[in-house]
Amino acid sequence: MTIEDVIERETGQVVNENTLLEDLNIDSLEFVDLLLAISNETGKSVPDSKVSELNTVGDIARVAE
Amino acid sequence: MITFQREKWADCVDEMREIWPEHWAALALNQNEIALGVDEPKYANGDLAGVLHLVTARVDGVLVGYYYGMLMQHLHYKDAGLMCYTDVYYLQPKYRRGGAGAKFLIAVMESLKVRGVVKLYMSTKVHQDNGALFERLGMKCTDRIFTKMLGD
Repeated sequence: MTIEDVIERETGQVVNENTLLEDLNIDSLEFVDLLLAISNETGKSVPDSKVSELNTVGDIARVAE
Repeated sequence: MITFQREKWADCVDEMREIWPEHWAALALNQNEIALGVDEPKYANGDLAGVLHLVTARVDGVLVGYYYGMLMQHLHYKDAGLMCYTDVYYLQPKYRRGGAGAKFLIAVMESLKVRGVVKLYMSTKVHQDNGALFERLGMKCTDRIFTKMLGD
């Protein structure tokens, strides 16, 4: 699963783990979809207290591991 | 990086006052009839009484958004637990990236849970509808609000 799979659009950018979600123009709906996708894929929910710390593609990848 | 935190009214009112006019211009209805006029002493008293729940959004320490609501027992369901009635929420447009709006609302809900709040009431303007986001965050649309100016 990639971020582009979840948000259902191409970001048009070369993405690495340091890429900021805001630089991919991820909006709030897409961000929540990412959280839901992580939960569905891994069976783990991101604790609400940690959500604000998800700022980069790497942050998303680590919680999805 | 954007951060979200509970704050006291007195600690951030000077900064919020700078943002209120743009918030009002972007969202308020009936602007020709009803001028912006925040009753600051009432909010301050509400905060001192523990009734006001205020969460701020800051970037590098600078205020870029705020949420505040009132905590009280529902008048019809006095034994159902503490409920939060949202008053206002605003995040400056240039900071609504990377899911910041969703993060803000999740932080608000988390902070309310910590205070023992069992139910949150939110509304959204028809002309800037946040309903899709609210529903993604697990909220249900339960009421519609109608207004009418009653002048001549």
